[in-house]
Amino acid sequence: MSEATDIPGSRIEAFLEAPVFGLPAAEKRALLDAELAALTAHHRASCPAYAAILETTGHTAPADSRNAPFLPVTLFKLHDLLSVPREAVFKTMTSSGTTGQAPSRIFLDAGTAALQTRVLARIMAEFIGTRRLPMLVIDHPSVVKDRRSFSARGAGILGMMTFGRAHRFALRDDGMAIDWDALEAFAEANRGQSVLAFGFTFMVWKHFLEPLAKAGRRLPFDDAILVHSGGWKKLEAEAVSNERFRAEALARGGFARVHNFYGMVEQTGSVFVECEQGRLHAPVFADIRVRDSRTWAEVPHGTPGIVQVLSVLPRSYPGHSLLTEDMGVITGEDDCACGRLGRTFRILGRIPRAEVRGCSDTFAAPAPALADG
Amino acid sequence: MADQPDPLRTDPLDSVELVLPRAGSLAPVRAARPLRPFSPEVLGFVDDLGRRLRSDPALRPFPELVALGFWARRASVERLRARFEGAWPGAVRMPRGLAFHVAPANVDTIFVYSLLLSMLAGNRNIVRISSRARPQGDQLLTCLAAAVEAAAPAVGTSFAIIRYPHDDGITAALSAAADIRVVWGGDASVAAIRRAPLGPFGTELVFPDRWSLAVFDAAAVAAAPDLPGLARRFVNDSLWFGQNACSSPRALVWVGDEGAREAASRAFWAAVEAESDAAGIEWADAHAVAKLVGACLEAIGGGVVQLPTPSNRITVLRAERLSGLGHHPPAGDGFFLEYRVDSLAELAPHVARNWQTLVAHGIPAEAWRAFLASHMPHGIDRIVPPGAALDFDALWDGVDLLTALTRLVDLRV
Repeated sequence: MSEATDIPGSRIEAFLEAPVFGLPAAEKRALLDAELAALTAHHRASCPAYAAILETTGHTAPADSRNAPFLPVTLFKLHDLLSVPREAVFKTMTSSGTTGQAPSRIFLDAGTAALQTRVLARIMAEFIGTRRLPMLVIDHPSVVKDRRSFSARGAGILGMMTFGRAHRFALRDDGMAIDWDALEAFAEANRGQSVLAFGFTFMVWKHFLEPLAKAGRRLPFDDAILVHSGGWKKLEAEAVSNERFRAEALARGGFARVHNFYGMVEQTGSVFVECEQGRLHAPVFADIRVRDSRTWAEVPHGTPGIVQVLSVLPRSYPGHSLLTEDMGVITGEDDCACGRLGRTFRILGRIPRAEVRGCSDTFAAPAPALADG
Repeated sequence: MADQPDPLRTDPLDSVELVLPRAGSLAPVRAARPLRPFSPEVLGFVDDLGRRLRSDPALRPFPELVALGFWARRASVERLRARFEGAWPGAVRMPRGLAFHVAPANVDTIFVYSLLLSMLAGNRNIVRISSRARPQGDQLLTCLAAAVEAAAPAVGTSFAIIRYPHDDGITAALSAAADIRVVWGGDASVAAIRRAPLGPFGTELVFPDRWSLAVFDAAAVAAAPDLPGLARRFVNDSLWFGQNACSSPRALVWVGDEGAREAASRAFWAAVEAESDAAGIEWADAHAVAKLVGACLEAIGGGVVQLPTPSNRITVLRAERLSGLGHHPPAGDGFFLEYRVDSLAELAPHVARNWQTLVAHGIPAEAWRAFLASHMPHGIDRIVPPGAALDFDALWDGVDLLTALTRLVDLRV
């Protein structure tokens, strides 16, 4: 953790010691503002591209969490951004990316990677407890076979697998059909007990819950936990609501506790998990802002806008304040019936793509030739 | 040529989808005789089409179609004709024959201008449009269909609009048969279509990717009696198509000293911001994000400072040096790079072949004549006042299109 604590002004230990969902707004803000300001100063000093962006766009004053200058996440697809020497890069995470786009490349040093692992464990424990349950991975085994290629999907599954034991993969490598033998064996071994299952939202629905329903099967678990992530876009196209998803997970798998989470490869670790009330929660390590695209001003709670995510984890790359490609809405702060403190929000989907008009077919993807570059 | 097989009779063309004339075939177009330039039949058709485009309430959301309608007015076509006929009064103008047009994939309406000019020239025309449907494309086809139905029979056999998926065989057959090929769609489209050879007498007009800019005299802008009007015309030039029209300015070069620039720049961009808000151009969240990404990329490249603007309607980056002038900026929809020169001469070494439209204010025609004559820049095809960047003219991309679409019989007896 030496890299993580070497940053002047950083008080990351205070975050690790704080209750994950227990700090009232004012207290959290004070802690977060100071840490984000330290991170902005660190990345400005260590990442020339980041410094150039701050210089150009006029962010010269010390930043707090309200105005911590944000980078658009797309930038990590277009430019390598590091705040450590390349030799210090411990692993490089890539996102699967939208079709036709380059993937994001996120450079982790050992300190940032270790911090991500610790923080993810702290957050998940708040929802699934600290006891390791038998775990069903709703994906196919080869997705985690090559441990050197950290696709977001493979890395996400590997990260989650540490929270369970006696893992089984629910799907087959060929064609993503349910591996009935593996599933039967897992179900028999854990009949009437709690288990943990994890998968990506669309895969869980399309390749697990739907086939179970079609086959008329019901899994024999009791008070089981299903954690899923990856976005609703594809399911919205099929008109599957969160409510229907949860109902089906309970009916087919005995999953009484379903937790969606919102996270991204650019801020691995500090995830936003859905509570029992169906709200996504910001943990002490992270926060959320919703901004008006016309001025970048924050919008009032309840008003939709573009989602900005803040995280105190990114140290080896300038990803502590990011403007996402998602629309969202703040649903409250320190007022959720589940008792957890912090901001809560809902994701409304991707920012709609804008129509392109003009004389030429190819203007959408010119390699940006930079001024004086 | 009579003893050669007609390349249009080969198989590949059986698979094209005929969009217009509806329920017809390509055969009558291929068999039709060319018409005289500015034949009464075509003049009547263009006039009628223009009237439909100007008056159809369904076209209100598509001002580019209404603009096409104004261009097709009888009076403006007559001006074209006078210019055309005045050029070589002794010679006889003849159509080239068969024109094969490749429209841009996004069914931008600009290809219709070259189609109408080719019809006025008397050519037979086959137009390939993309399969990607867009509302203004559909509206345009509806108007064209109605105008053809009402027109003289000779008009119906003078053009066909077709669609086909990527098929080099079809492109090759049409190219081999064409007397002139007209290719829109930018560099990639030109390169792709050029893989298909033309016949020995075939010629072509191509419209590759272009880059356009504005050059304003700083003192003239600072003293402009109607700054909002100037800004409004600049907004029309640039934001109408989200700066993606080839003739939309991407950069603004101020001519003047630092003090004059500072005053002009401050007042001008504030006016542009206000006018773009007032123009009712659709706002998209994605545009704001794209401009932020663009500003970050330019920042990483170095040598730029972002000028403060009250909103994300426009993003303006001031470049410290001229060396980046002419690079394709990473965003549009109100994303401008600002440069400064002390005199026009400083601009000359940066002009590249792909420079098309230069929107000029406060610099008289004589200054431009002198600039062109003394520096002989490789690029720049148009120098127009603010508000005229998108006005299509038969003189386009440096070419007199009507002349290119016809041939001249040198009659000296």
